[in-house]
Amino acid sequence: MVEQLRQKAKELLRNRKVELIIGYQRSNNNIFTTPCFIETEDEVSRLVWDKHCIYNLSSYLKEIKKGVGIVAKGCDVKSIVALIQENQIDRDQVKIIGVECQGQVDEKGQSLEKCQSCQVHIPGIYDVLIRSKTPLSKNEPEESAEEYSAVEELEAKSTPERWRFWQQQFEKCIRCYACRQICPLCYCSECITEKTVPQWIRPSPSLRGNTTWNVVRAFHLAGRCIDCGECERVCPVNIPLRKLNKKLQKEIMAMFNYMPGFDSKNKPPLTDFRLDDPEEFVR
Amino acid sequence: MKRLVRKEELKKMLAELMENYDIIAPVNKEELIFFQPITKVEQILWDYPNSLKPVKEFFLPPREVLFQFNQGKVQPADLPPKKRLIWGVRPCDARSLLLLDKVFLNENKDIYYLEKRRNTALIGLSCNHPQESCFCTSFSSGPHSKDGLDLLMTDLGEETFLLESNSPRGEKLLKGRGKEVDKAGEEKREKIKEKAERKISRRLEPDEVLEKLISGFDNPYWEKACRQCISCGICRYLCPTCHCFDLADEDSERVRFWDGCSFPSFTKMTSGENPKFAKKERFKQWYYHKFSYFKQNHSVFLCVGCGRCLRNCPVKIDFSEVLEQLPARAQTPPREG
Amino acid sequence: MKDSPSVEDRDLEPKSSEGKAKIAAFLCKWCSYAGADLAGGSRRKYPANVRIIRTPCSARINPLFVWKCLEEGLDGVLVSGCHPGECHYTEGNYHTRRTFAVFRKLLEYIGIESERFHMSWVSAAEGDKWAEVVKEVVKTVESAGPNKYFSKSEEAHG
Repeated sequence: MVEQLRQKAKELLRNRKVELIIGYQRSNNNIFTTPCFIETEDEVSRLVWDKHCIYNLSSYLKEIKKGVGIVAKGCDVKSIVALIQENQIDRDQVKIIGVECQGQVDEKGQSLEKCQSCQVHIPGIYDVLIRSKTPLSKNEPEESAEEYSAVEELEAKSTPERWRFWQQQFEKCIRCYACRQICPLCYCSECITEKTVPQWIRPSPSLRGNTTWNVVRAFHLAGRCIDCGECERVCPVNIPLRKLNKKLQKEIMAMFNYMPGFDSKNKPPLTDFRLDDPEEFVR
Repeated sequence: MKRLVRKEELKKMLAELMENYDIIAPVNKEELIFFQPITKVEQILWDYPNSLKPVKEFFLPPREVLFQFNQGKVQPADLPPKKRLIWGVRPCDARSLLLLDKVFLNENKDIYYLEKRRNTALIGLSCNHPQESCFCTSFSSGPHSKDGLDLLMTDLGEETFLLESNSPRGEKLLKGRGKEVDKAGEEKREKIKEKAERKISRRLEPDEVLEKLISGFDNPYWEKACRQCISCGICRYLCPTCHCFDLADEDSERVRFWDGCSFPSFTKMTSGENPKFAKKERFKQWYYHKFSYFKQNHSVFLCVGCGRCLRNCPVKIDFSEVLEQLPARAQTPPREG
Repeated sequence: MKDSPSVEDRDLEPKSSEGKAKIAAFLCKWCSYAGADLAGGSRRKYPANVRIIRTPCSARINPLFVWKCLEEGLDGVLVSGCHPGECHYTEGNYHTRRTFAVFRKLLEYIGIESERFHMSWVSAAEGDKWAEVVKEVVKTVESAGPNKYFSKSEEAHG
């Protein structure tokens, strides 16, 4: 697969289809990878592909919006779709080098949780597809009974227990904003945390401020988060952010039958409505 | 003063110290290592790579109330009454406090920092197994350095520690404990120390780096080097020597909290002007502050080689690699005028 | 370091707060606010715990307003707008409905008691309904006790 990837990358650069390719390169310890940016054909040998390619490179499309090629797994492509849907990039300005992915592992070599319920081993959209020599059968929406098990576990607890759980998590937050910076869909040029008139979110890492920050970010991602899991991966204090974002993903699916990241022509659910939307909670 | 002390006796010593000091020690909390106040000696980790947050958090906390104000009256925050003792600090973190002292304890002493420094005893633990990401030896220091510590413990194995005092406070704490260090103990210690020093493979030449930085300010290298960075604050916050902070008023309190020069709005001013809006500028800033400006102002580099930045960067930017790759001579023509 | 109750130690058991609940109500000006006005004009009696904030449309109500009320220590929040199909701006309340359908799930998941957030459709002619809504909401909010989740005195971090 790697040879094919490098070949295609070379072609894209040679034919001037793109000026820059964002991909994965081997990191210093020879096992993991780091994001790489290549501009010339002779650099393509830096590109690699394996189960250590965990980053969602589409996050760089927040800054680089034209003439760019990007190596993208199925989950990464979902955020590219979301960016197109929200008019953050033009489909024809990005060349998606889709890669067939059979699952990624973390630094300890353990399979990522999100990979266990993956439905997009082959990316939904691409300009070029790099297939594995031993291809998996077509994208089967695996009956992912475990997909929401972490959320359900928390839902089963009592209200004060849930509050305690989340307060313990948010107490750890140091407001490094790595979650926001790595997220492809957190692209506001001025984040709500920076607004001082009025100040919605206390900037210091008090428990109150941290709670508000995390709640607001989760809500701003409602119906948009495609569960790439990067936020949880980068959090230095291990706050289980996927547990938070997936809850809203679950509710939006149940209430509005909508799943983000598949069709860029869909209207994001919180910008839309239907006459028969649920309202059993309204007096 | 040097003494050989059995682990059992150290535990008893800790239990005694708990009466007069708030003891802060490394604990394992859901797979992360934090320094925290402890109530039981059993909570302490006796061997650990390094804590997630550096020991600076006890002197320049992530959030600190400076004073309260109410209807024209200003009330300074309570300064900690009980003495503190931080147990098991790594030599790199201890050294970082000496660097922070240059900022907070110059002619204008920061009273909050000062009180905490005065009030806190530091008992260090030598690193017998430095990590791949460690490079403390590049800064006239090492895994068994006593700089900044009151007392240094070295695990000699077989439940025995060699303790060395490095200050009057340390000597007082050590007096009467354990027994005299014999030749065998000394030799064992030397062996362990050498092994640890040899294990450190990562190396930076700070003086060469300084020269490269001075000549390379306008080098187009920085355009490419910064691309991976996502502008979060992890390296700044987890760095033992980074010390930038912001101020805010919350509920009639003036608070001080960590800030980082990587954030896009770090240099944003009231007028709306933001000189370091470009990522390249913010990326460069860190290297220049640590390896150029601070050296020029305080004669010492603002880095202790703890490696936290490398280990925790979300996109695995290797700080020493960035400096390694910076070309040695300027490749742009000299600036005009 | 300040002594402060850690998250584990805080007493989170519900206690009744009869008569003392502080509730904010965000009302759209065309329907709900007018309905509340009518209740007043018709001398309908209802508890005085509710502080009203008027907005041009219920869609103007950002869930963040609701969150901030709770964060600042209010015991409950009510959002009220026109009945679906009757919005002065045609479709504002459809958006409100979706937004809060999602937001209330988030509140519940975070651990905010479900008794604290309420939503209603009250038209300009429904003065009676307004009084009933307030009575029910106040009773429900009071059953959850005072909102102690966000203490005024901040703990120092770490």
